[in-house]
Amino acid sequence: MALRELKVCLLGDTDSFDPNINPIVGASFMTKTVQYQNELHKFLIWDTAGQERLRALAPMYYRGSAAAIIVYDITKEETFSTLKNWVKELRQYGPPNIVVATAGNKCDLIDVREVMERDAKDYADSIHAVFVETSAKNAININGLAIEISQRIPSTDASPGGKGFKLSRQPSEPKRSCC
Amino acid sequence: MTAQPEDKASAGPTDQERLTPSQGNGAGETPLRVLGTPEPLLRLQRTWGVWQIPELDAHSAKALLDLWPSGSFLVIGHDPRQVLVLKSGPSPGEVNTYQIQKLPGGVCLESSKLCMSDLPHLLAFLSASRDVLPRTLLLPPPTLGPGDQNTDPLQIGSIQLNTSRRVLFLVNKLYVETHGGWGMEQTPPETTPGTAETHRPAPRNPTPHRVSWVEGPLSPEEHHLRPAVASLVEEKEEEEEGDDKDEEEGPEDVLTQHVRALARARSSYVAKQFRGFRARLTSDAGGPHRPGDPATELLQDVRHLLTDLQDHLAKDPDVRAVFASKGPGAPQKEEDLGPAVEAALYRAVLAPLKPALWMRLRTLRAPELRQLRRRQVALRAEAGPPGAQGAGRERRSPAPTLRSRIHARLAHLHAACAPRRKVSLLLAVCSDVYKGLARGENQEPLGADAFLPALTEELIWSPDIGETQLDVEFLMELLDPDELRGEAGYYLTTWFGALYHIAHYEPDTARAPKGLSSEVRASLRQWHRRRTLHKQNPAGDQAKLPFEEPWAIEIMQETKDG
Repeated sequence: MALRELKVCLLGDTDSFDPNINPIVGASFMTKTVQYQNELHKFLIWDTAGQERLRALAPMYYRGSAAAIIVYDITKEETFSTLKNWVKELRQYGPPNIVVATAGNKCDLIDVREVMERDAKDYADSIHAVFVETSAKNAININGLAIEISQRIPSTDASPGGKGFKLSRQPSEPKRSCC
Repeated sequence: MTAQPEDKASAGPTDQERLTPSQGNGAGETPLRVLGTPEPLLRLQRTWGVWQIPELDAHSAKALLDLWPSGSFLVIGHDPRQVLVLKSGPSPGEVNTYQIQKLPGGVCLESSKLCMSDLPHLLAFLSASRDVLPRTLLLPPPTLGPGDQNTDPLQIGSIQLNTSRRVLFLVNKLYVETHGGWGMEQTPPETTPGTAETHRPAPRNPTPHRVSWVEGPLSPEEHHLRPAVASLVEEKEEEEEGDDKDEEEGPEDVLTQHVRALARARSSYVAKQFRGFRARLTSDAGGPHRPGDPATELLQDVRHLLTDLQDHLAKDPDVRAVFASKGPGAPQKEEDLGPAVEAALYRAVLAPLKPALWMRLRTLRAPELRQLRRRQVALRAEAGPPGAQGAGRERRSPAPTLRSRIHARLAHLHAACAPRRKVSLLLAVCSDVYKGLARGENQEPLGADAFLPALTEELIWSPDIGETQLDVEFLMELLDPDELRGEAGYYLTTWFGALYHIAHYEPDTARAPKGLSSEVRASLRQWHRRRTLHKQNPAGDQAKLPFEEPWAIEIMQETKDG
């Protein structure tokens, strides 16, 4: 079975995101493998730091990503605004066909919901994003999310076992300028 | 005043007669070969403010040096009339001066035929080989660290004795302004009119820099440079780090020996490539002008050299025969040939090139590394007295043993040659950073929000941040693109980001550092494009099916089941 490695970046309120994966070194980088059709998809999950002063480093993380999971806290409206900013940034600077997933987390069972599920779902639909929400901490269905992401990632066209070229969009010659 | 050599000699050599590093003796040796390791140059670069005191007059310099050990030196005066003042012998009055000349090709002593690219290079050479001097230079010990404080009242610019009356020191105005200091005293900032330095942070808490070569060598706790010290301190952890010795130790396998022999042979392809690259490294910035960043280009060329040689060797029947005969037991598997050849190449080809390669990289990256070190000092100074906060930095530091283990691992990282080895040390440091953050068992796994600031903090307190920068850039160009997508690539990216954050930290502005400039974005785009267009597929078994970027042309490899 063919193995495909897919870089996925985690943006937004990722501190609240606990995908129930047990990482070895630490949770900044995690992997998750799911089977999709006749392929194994290994998600290489790159967490980003959420602090505003470190936001400038994000491009290094979403560059080359097949998908971006943007996390927000359903009890904090401002995290949903931040999510929209990320969508804007990805549109402008991110990979052209990146798959976006929006994941609503509830960090604190006590706090009151501020972002309605209906609104978040409508927004996700409007940007053709995968949408998922959890009702309790630690319960993001990472398998389901991974499968949905896999469904949306462009498949490879090359016949297995042969060599061939796949040309989707011609890159321009990298501009070389002094520094 | 003793007689100076240039008085006796006839007029100095003309520019044509001077040797520049690109020429050598007839035997093909170059002056740079005299330097066994990069350490002298590093030390000189790091202690620049100690030995260069432009505003000091010759009389004071001689008086000062007369009290110091033989070989001690200072460089005084302003460009283009700089002077090397040298304590040439043990007796009082044995101090000589030598004019330093600036030429298009570099700097040299007036009476000498030797021309080097800049002062540190020249002085590094003169510390190994005396040339026209009566003796070699004695290098100052590496810069003392933040543990060093002096509570005496400061007088900038005049010679003083410290409290114990054991140390003669001079507060170098220029050094303080360039590097800041680590002490607690508040003194009004001073500026030197007409200094050429740009991008200087406001001086904070200046302390006297101890010119302590009369004190003798540093104690082990303060001296982070020598790898030997790490093993002293880490005796307890030796068992846990059983494989943590530099890979270049130990007996070489037959494949490495074979490749090494090929690299030395007169007419082999490997030897020609090797010598050609080595000559390029030691030539004086020659070659046609290529657009783009020279340091990155150089690293790309290293990668091309290695992948080219790897391809060549993997097809060589002799190499295959040596490889097949390697194992006494089971026959070697075909897919192990690639990694084995790669490992042999790193030992036999890259390792000998590394010193010259690193010297060239340091030169090419000199301005960036200077800025990085300056910002590092500013951030350390800002940390200031315990309990103070600055720019959102959390002050949880790990236990001292953990930090010193990180420093030991960093030293091994700098010394290592093969990318795989460097990566494993880099990841080991990451592991230590996580350990420092951990607080009991019931904590959730820590993400980037916690990790990146903690890593940044460790880098701020690390001893050789310039070397770390070069290691990270080296790995970004040398690693396989597949690896760059996974764990190694993730943490490499995070280290790059942390170093970038440190280098662009602006303590005097209230806001966060500027976002990535358009130049940096463009450079990162180019890097990514360069590393993901599969121009050269490495021979061997890295044949996982890659995810193809929508915008990339790709050659789809045969899928091999992994």
